[in-house]
Amino acid sequence: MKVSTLLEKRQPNWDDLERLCNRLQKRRGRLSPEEVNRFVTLYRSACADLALASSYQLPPTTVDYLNKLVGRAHNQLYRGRDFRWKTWADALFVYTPQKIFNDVCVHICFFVFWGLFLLSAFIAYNEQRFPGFAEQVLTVNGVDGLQSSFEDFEGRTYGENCMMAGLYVWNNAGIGLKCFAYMILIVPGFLTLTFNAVVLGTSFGVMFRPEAGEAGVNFKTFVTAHGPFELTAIILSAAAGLRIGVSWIKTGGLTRMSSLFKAGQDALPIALAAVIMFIMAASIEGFISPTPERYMPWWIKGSIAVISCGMLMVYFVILGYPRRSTSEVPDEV
Amino acid sequence: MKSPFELDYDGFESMVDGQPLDNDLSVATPENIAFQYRVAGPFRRMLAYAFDVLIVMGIAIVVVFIAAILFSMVIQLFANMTNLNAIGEALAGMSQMLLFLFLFTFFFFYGAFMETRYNGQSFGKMIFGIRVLGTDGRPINAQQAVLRNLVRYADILPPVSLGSIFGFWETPIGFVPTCLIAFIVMMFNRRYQRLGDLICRTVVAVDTKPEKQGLINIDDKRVRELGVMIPHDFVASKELTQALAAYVDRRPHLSLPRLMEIAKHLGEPLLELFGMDPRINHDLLLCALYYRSFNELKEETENYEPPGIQAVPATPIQPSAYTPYRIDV
Repeated sequence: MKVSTLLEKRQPNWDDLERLCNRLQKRRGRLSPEEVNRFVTLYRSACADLALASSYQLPPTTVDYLNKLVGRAHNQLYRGRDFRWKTWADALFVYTPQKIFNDVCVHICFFVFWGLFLLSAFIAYNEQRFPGFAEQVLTVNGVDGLQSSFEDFEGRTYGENCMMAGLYVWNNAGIGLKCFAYMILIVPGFLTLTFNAVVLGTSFGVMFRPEAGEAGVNFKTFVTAHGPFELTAIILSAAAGLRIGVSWIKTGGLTRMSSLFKAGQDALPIALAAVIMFIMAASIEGFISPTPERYMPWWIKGSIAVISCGMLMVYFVILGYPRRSTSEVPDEV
Repeated sequence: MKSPFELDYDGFESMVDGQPLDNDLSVATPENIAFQYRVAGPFRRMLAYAFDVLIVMGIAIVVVFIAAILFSMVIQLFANMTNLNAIGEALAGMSQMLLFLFLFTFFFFYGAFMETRYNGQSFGKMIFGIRVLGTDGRPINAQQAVLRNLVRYADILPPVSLGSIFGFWETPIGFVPTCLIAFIVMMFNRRYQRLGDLICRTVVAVDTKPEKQGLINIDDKRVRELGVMIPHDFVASKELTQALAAYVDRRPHLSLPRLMEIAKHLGEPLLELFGMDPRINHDLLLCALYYRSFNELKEETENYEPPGIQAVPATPIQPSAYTPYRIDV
């Protein structure tokens, strides 16, 4: 059979397949069962034509056309998998806590963050022994601004609370996600993490000085409630990124690319858990933290902090305690 | 759970040694055939990204603008009513919160949403005709879309401050991402994958709708006549027909001297093989061979008329020098 005859015979099939593809590619494109059947048959025959292209001696342009047609139909046949809540919930509450519990990266980020935080808080607190440290970190204006903003803090209106809660999500969760991404390259990630640890620690050190007075008291009551979630969240997002960053150096026997891929799969739920914590922290910081003492005594904020710590404990330790999960094959039977 | 169709090794085979030096990647389907995608290069992708950034910024600015108008209206509306002033303020605050939440979701998850919803394409990718695919050739899922869009923040590092480069401002402001990390990572792999693509096993491919391309119709009587003169027992090999098809496909884009130069290499030995007049135009000979290899010649043979007066070429040639198959110089 000559090519021209063959093309004449096949062209209607290909046109038909293309037409069905066009319809599928439209928004909410749906085909009737008969058409789906026809689509599949046409797709298979196009595949066969492509497979036999060289023995049919089809011209390269036709082979090119067939390639694209088959690729397009393939994309419609094996479509994107739908979003499933159960998969994500499982990832978030079953697999992720267990991964976090044993993750060296979380431990590293935890110790780096808290070590630097406490160290800079200690140095900033002891102004006699280390004069000028706080001013170097926060700048003179920064120290003054921090003090004056808490000097006569009288709470905010409800509208301001709402606005600030939104701002905290936008800013903090944004920093968390960027920290996650930067940690993949390790160096910029550690810069972000240590920068935040040192700045936060120094602020705490400054506000805990006896001479901070009224501002210091306001600061302490302000930060109590949302502290646990916020500080854990920044550590978690950094750790998730570090997990990917380390994975292409320490592959654990896989190829580098497979190791990267696997780490990415593990790390994404951790980063998303961190985002959820940032959002919880932001709503506490927006609506509960700024409430003045006369409406909400300190012990309420304190108990909120205790409850959030308890929730974190449940998440990390109870959900996360290593067990033989169904997904992993036990080493020895 | 592993799908039975998932390839076990990292990604798929592409650019096996001996394959042409194209940026094609070949995807093996469950139907056990392989088809090719053309990988999108860094510059097309960067344009698409820049376009996406423009769209995100544009939409954000419009939303903030409309929100600002609404806030001021609400506040104005309630300002004169002393009792309701607090409500107006609370409403404005709540809408500001919604605005911030929207901006957060929009900035960080626009790409992920678009790529999940529209089968691997954001607006920028739609305009520049590219699409994200898994390296197994299948459309990407939500997880891949979210992760590759988050890792982009690492890929666009390091930022450079326009202000300090050009000295407009003393303080470093006006940061522009340089995408250096992405470019460097792309240099070290064959599929132009950036860091996010490597981590998610995705690849960005050119997404062209197939153009209909059948046989090229050569509307020249001389070609058909010459086709008949080629010895009937000559069967072109596979490679030769491929070369002929490629040649005829490219013909309209080449100048005449270039055509002659290319056709000479094949034309001369073929004329010798066929024992035909060496003065025959090589280009015409190749076209004729193409015509004969891909088309039925039967009807033509039946209606065959010997070359004569009808075969006057479109370009004026001096009649005395004219033979139908002579090289036109």
